[in-house]
Amino acid sequence: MIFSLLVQESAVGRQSSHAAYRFACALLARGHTLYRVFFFADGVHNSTALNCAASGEADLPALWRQLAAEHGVDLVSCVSSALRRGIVDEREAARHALGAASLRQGFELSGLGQLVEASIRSDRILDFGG
Amino acid sequence: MSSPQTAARRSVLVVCRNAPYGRSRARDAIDVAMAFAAFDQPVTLLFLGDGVLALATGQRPAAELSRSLEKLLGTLADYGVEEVHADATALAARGLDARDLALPVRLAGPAELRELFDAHDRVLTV
Repeated sequence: MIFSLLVQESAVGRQSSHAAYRFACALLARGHTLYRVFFFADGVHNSTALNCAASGEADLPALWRQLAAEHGVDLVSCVSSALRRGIVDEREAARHALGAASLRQGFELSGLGQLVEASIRSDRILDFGG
Repeated sequence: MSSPQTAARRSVLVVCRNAPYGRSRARDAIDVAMAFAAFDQPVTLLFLGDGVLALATGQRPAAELSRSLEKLLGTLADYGVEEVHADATALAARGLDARDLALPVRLAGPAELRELFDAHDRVLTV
């Protein structure tokens, strides 16, 4: 079965992104396909390149990146949510004359159309943090 | 943004359970519903619990801090979101009825709510 996930809360301070990550690992372990994880609203904090996880705590941005590299999962952060929260790739950083990019490698910025497309292409879409 | 395959259509129920202004959730739910409609997906927007407060008329948010949700709600139909439902029990519990709302919505009792969740291919709580 093809799954996609909608992640809506920060990776830190709330549990729902952890639950989403664990669900992603579990469905892949069962032989299902994870087509896309769409990070929306505070969920875009999962895609930062500029975090340092405290020792003994999960580094979710790094874990998502690793999961995507191993299983070919599409990681998309909502561009309008991301711009508001200081998550920008090189292109947006240049366009808005910001000092630096902050989007982690392995993630891309795009619009809500990517959530719609995930809904169309997947058998199931689950929201976390709703 | 690559365009989704619009040949396939999956009905989606977008659920909002959060009061407006304390968090951006209500606004986010409206944005999500509009996005599905923009790509020609049948979408229903449902306000549950505290979410029904987003529908109240006479909203006057501090202009410099937050845009009016009421104005945004007025544009839903223009963006193709024509199905807007509200939890009737939640409205009554908050002293609201249809006359207090900023736009015409369908009031859903417990049976209608069950039908809404059953009838859609996708349910997203935003």
